[in-house]
Amino acid sequence: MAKALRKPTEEETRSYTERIRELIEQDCVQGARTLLAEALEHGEQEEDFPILQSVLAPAKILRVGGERGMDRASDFQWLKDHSSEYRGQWVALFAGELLAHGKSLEDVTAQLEAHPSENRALLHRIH
Amino acid sequence: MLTLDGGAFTCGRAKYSDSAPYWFEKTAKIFVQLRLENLGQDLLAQLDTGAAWSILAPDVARKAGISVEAGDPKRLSTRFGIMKGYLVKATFSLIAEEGDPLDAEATFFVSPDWPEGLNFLGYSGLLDSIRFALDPQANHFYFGPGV
Repeated sequence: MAKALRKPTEEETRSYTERIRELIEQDCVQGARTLLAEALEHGEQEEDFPILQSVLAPAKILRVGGERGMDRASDFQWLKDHSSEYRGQWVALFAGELLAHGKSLEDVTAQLEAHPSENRALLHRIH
Repeated sequence: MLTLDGGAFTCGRAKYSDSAPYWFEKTAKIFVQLRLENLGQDLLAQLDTGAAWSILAPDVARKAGISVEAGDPKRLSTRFGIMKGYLVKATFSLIAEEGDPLDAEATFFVSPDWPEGLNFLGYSGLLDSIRFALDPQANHFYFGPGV
């Protein structure tokens, strides 16, 4: 006796990639990760899996340790006191002093590069 | 540094700023210190546990030499409207004033339409992979590798 025809579900007709991308578009990252893991567990291989694995992967810790930063308390105080004067601009600060300011990041970093220093500035765009 | 059950919970600590509010939003935000590979200076990024993705401003990504074309296309619904951009990998450090900094690679959304200079550390793929704690009385951000 012939089997009754069954209409395939939407999940059965769409590729894993389509379904994972839909979850990414919906910002459902955990759901996308789970579906990708399910696909790989089932031995599925689709062209976009490598890049999806890459962008959905948790952050990879590369190193603990290295150069310490400086105390930025005075730079934060500068932002508190002077932000309204530099609205819409990038500022570069160090030790509570304004080193450079300008309309673009490129402009401000060029000003810093013109006067090289061993100290790292704190860059911030004031909106 | 902070400990849990006798072991290290965090590896580093740095001050954060809560007084750099945007003109369109006056409430306090948490801005933590960030260092990007290939960018010789330090930056601030808003800590946002409610954001699905981390975001790098387009000018910052460009200056750091991050190639967006190698990323995966995505549209993101934001307070500025729907943005077309890319999900890309970027290497960054959480800066430590005390203890040790933390270097990591994570996924960031980068869009040419996103406002310049506006960086976010979001939950998925970044904050969900580390340990962190805040001391709002001292404005201290504690962080460490996840387990």
